Order: sequence, then C-alpha cells, then structure tokens
Amino acid sequence: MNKTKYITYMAMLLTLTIVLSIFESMLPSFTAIPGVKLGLANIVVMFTMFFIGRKQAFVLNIAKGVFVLVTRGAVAGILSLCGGMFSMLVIILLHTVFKDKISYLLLSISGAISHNIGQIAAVSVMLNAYAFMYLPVLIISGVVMGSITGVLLKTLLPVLSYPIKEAKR
Amino acid sequence: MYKNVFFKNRDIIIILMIIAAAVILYFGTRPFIKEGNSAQILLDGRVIKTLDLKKDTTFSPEGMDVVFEVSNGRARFVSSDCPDKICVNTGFINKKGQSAVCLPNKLVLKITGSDVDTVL
Repeated sequence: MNKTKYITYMAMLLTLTIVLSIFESMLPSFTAIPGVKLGLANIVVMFTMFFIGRKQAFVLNIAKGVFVLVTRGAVAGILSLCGGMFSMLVIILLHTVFKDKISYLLLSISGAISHNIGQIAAVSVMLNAYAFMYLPVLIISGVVMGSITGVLLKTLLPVLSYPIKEAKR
Repeated sequence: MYKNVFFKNRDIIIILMIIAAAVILYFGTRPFIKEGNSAQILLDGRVIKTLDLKKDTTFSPEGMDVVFEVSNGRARFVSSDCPDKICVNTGFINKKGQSAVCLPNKLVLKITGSDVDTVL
C-alpha cells in the first residue's frame, strides 16, 4: 500500500470510529444500568488491532477518547479513555499468552468485559462511589455485547479489509 | 497481523464459565450486603449532605434541578435535569455500598452503614 492510500485508509478508519461512537450515543439506552452499551466503535478498533497494528489501534483509541472529551465533557472522555485502554491492554495480554489458540470471539468478549471494568474503576475513583456493585451485571453485559461486536466484526471484515487485499494484488 | 480463528467450540464452555462466575459473584455477595442506615449525597466526590434513611424526607442541592427522596428506608433520585436520566432510572436503593450516579451533574447518591458495619 502506498503512502497516500495508507493515510486515506487510516483516516477512514478514524472517521468510522468517531461516527460509530456518535451513532451509539444517539441510540436510546435500553437498560437503566449505566455502562451497558454495544460498543460499536470497538469493532473498528479491534479490526485495526488484529489486522493492521497495535500502534494504529492505540492512536484510534486516543483519538476517540479526545473526541468524546471535546464533545461530551471531561468525565465522559476520561471514561472512554480508561475503558478503551484497559480493553486493549487485556486483549494484547491474552493474545501474548495464548497466541493463536484463542478465538476472535473470546478476544472480543474479554475486550468488552475489560472495557466495562476499566470504566467502573474510573467511576469509582473519580466520584468516590463503589460502582463495583455493578460488576456481575457488567460482566454479563460484556459477554452479550462482546459477542455482538465480535459477530459484526466477522461480518464487516471483507468490507473493512478490502483496501488491504487490494494493495496485495 | 493476527491469525486466529473466529470461533472454537471450546468457547461456549468458557463463555458459560464466565456467566456462571458473574452469577455466583452476584448471588454470593448479596447476603453479606446489609441494609444501610444513611444516604450520602456527593457532589464531585465530596459529601454535601447526609440523609437519615429512617426519616422520610426530600432534598434538593442548592442551585441544581435535582431532587432526592428518602422513603421507607430507601433513597432515590426523584428527578434530574440530565439528558440520560440513568440516575432516576436506577430507582430506590437501600443496601450498603449501593449507589446511584448522575454523571452529567457529578452527583452520587450512596448508601452507607454505621461505623461498626463499615469495619466488617
């Protein structure tokens, strides 16, 4: 892939992350429990991490956090960053330990669960509240939402990775 | 580039184990959580008001469009001007350590026990 194509591709992925993040914040929350969200933007972050590189996924996570920080305030921004970073850390850790013996579905689920854990840890520290009472609920929610984003990732894979295949030809 | 497979049959067992762990965590910790006897209202992490759960009252922080209520030993957000209403939807809480959080207003409603309970 030449440099111009690479830059355009990265810009597209970044835009996709931000648009999905906005789209998700517009959806009505279907439960009363804070933190139970789909995490659509994580599809793009995970795709980037798995098929392009960890460095690029890291940049996407930071950019998403900064965008949330600017548009939805400091609290939401810090929450987004804590969740995103912890989620990446856990996925990288699992992948380092299990190499290719772990499936994408499990990586996606553990990413979603750790995203939730990162967020409740941030809430607990920032507001001095014991948000860990929610942990069991958020683990279940992580399993469900992680499976959904995992399946969506598999479905969208041919579209998202098209430029990579194109460049190899 | 990662070269993993998307799904392995073994995953189902692992997922079920995670769910079982969450369920055990939920029901396993419940009996140990006692009902609290006071509700603290925190603004940006600082306690601005402590309400006794034995007395039915309502409270509204100065200059804010938020109303708290204590009724039958439980406390809740009655109304809030925030857009998502997560705090109001949390409903009544009465167990020690439970909290209802309103992030847009940086308000936390937290149930606390007596000092003796806190040590345990």
